[in-house]
Amino acid sequence: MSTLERRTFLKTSAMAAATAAVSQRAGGAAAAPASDGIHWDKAPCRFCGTGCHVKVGVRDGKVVAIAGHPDAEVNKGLLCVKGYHVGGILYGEDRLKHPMLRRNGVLERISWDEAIDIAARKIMEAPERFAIYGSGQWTIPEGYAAQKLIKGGLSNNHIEPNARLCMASAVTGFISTYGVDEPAGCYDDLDACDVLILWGNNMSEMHPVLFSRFYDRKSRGEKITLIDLGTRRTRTTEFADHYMEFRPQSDLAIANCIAQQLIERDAWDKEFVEKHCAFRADADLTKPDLMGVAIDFENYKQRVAEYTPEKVSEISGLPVEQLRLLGDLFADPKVKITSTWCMGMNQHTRATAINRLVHGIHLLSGKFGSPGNAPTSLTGQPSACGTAREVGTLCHALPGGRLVAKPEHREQCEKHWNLPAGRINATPGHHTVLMWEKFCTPTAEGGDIRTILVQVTNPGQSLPNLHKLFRAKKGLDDKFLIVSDVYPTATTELADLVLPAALWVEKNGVFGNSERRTQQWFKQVEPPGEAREDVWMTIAIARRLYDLGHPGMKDKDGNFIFRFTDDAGNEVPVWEYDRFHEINVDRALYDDYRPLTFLKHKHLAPYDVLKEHTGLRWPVVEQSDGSFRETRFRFSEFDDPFVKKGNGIEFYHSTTNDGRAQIWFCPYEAHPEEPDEEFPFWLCTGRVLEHWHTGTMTMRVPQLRGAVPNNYVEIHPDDAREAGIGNGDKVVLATRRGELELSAWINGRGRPPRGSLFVPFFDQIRQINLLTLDAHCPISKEPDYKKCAARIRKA
Amino acid sequence: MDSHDIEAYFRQHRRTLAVILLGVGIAAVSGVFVGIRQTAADTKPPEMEYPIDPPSHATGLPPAPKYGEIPKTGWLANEQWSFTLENLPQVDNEREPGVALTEEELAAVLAARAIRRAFNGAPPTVPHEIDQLSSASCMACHGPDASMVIAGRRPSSLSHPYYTSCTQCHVPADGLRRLTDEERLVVASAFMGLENPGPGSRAYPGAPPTVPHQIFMRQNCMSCHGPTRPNAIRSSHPDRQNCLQCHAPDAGFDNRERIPNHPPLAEP
Repeated sequence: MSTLERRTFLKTSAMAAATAAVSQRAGGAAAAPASDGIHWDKAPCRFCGTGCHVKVGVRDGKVVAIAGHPDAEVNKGLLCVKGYHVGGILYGEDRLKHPMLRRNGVLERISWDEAIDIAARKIMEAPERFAIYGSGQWTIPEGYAAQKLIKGGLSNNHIEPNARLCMASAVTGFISTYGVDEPAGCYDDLDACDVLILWGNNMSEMHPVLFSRFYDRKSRGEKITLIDLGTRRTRTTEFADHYMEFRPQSDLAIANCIAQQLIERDAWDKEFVEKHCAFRADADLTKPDLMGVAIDFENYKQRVAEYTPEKVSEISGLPVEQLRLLGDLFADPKVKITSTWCMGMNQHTRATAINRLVHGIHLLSGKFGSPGNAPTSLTGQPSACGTAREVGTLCHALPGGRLVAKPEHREQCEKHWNLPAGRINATPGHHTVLMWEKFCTPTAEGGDIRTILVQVTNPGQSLPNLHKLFRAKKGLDDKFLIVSDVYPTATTELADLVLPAALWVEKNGVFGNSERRTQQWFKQVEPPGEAREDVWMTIAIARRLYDLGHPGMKDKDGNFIFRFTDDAGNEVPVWEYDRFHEINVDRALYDDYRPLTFLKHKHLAPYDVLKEHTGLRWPVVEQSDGSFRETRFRFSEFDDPFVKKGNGIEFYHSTTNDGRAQIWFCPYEAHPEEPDEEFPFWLCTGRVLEHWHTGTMTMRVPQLRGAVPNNYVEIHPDDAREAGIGNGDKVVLATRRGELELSAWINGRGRPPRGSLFVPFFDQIRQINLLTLDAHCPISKEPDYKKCAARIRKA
Repeated sequence: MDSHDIEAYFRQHRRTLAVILLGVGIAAVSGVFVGIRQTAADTKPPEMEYPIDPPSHATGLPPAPKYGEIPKTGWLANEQWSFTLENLPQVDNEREPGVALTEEELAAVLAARAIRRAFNGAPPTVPHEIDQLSSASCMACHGPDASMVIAGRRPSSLSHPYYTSCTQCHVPADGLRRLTDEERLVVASAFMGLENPGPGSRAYPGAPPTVPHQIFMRQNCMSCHGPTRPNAIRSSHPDRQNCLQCHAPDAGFDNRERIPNHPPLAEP
């Protein structure tokens, strides 16, 4: 281009641009692109334990859009319908905006100073009768602060997460098998396996993004097999290559049948088992415990021998051919099998047993430790792993996989927190069911829990047998319920003090998902009204206790137990809310917590590394060059840096201290409330795709509420016909604990077999947990929401 | 007998003939009247007492057609019913000139679009009843090759690559229909979603507009901009295959620049 030409060109372009500008101004229509003014940042989704990363679009201080994060390894840009609408959960018009105290039965607005003072004084009256009830939705710093306040400050172990109702059995399964909690595999197994077995797991509705991650491989031409082991037909069933419908509770027999076939066919992986495994069983079946006793292979073989396909076919209702198919798959050394489960196995009166058995068949067949071969539990909450399990916000646990019963573990925490020796109580507190039972029992009759602080959960709807474990609180005047929440819920209905909380991207946070992935996000919008961070509430209550003279609020040196300093080393009084944001309290708490994760080789990534990623899977280990590396396959030499070179597989936290995992034998046992003449149906409860937990968030999103506006009972058409029930008819569903009026859905989304009913639990108006059973696993103390006896009639 | 004889005969019997003719005439005339009276009496419906105020629904009902008219009747609900999808009328994919919309029409089109989305970029809700279990039934009408017309409308087709589980993201707007209970929790939402961005920016009149939305999950431009797609945003030149050659995406919509995300820290 010559000089002249170039000059002309520039002039022309300038003119064109000017013309365009003029025409835009004149026309007014062609405005600047609407992308202007939107700030995008990352956050993990607020809902389930999958741990998808979303991009949050914020304009003028409000969330206006959500997108899947295309670079996130978990979801690769895809979300489910809840994820796409997660921004809407912040904006229900009944957000709680001010602290409220119940006076003469009515909640009245009070100031934050009053609220914190009242909470602290209630605790101060009887610190040993105070309890904290949180959840797997606590961020890691929130759970850690609550843990430190109650165990390190109040010398009280009554702290529980609702995760007790959700994955406590997965924990006991992992610990009694491997000696340490959390899955060895990860979601990469879903990309590599040949066969995916869903153990009572309606994955296409409950973990839809993971389901797509696996199932979309089929539409890309890969040969994969999906086996749906379930007790009713679901959306997942429609995708399954094999649907195996078993009688509730008989999963125990099915797992044993797979072991029996492996041994009978001499197809078990002898090399793997001889090198890496040992056998174990309960010492006394009437009093099962976490560790059991060692047995030898011959003993194990004898005990599983009775679980022949023919016999198990009778117990489970599965045809012998289907049981043999399962045996064929596990016996074939070339087939890569991943098993996943969630509430179907965990909410079970023999939950620890079935967890152990599924780990056991993977170990026995050697389908463990290589990509595609893994037994993996899925979690239902965004930080059930990160907060409940890793921070150990359970009545028997301390951070980083420690136990209150172990003197050396208490000592380590006391040292780390700079507390005087003996500050941490050695006796485990009350587990969830017991805690609420004690709270709902009059003090004079042994109800030794007086005040409960509830954060980020809704026990008034999610506890089982609600009449007994929650509603009985009504009228007990000396019991005091403090509830921090974002919306009015079934729990705030009985609350004496209500604290309005910041939600999701209204605060900083760190979550930990099902595959050991720790995920961090920053605050992106302001909370409404006077709503504040839960972690601030915990610290402010602690500070008020300090001011009131509670000795536990001081460390060995007389400093407040939540002492934070700025870069210059000056203490920042973060309990004063106007100074709370001067430093990143989340980061300070996370940094304090992180060294506690090293004991069990759960090395979390430093905060600064986390914030650059859409989560990292622990152990995240520092390399010689100062960089950090995450671990996908734990206990496997090729990926896990803590396995000694040459060992191949090493269970370095083995309960027997010899690098071996335990293959358990646990028998099939009947359910404590099997259907009978009076209550002839099995009643199962659960979730639907569109709603999450008790629906407090998802019911405030019009698109999600529109899809499923209320719950219903699913019933088989033949059962309906016999009872004279038509589709959409009102029915009365009853168990030994109560009754409920619902609409019947025949041939609906889920299709239970004859003799089975299913009801979702998200509906606040028709609470199915008034009917469910509080019987629980003797080891994990997790109740069985999936099975109880019921009857149904037309209303 | 000659004419004389005939005349003589009539003269002779005049009186008798007159009586006969009179009788026949009376019979014929009275027969006519009786006949008329009888016909009228036979076709008249029996007397009925009509209500003074007829029931209101009666006025809204169309008259029942005669059997012979049924095939030609226009109001039948199942007029366009077809038992196989193949038999449905197909869209003519021939290029047709786009019709410019009036401002009101455009506003109506965009409002109808917005009502199915929480925000621009959200997966649209499903405006009809769905099969609760099978995704295959979605693809019959919404697949990339489907071009049938149902009740005068062409179903939208996938704007993104095929994912197996449709209901993972797309849920019915009115999911339970008759199972919806009167007493239920309904809370208003103050969520104000990102609105439709309007047309993309142009450097100068006649320049190709930039893409005013994210590309991710909208990789199939033809799903909305292809021929026979509902007006408003139809491309005038669908035969040009490589859309992004001229229409530049806007990084602001793909929100790539502000989010740190480094590659995984474990080598694959």
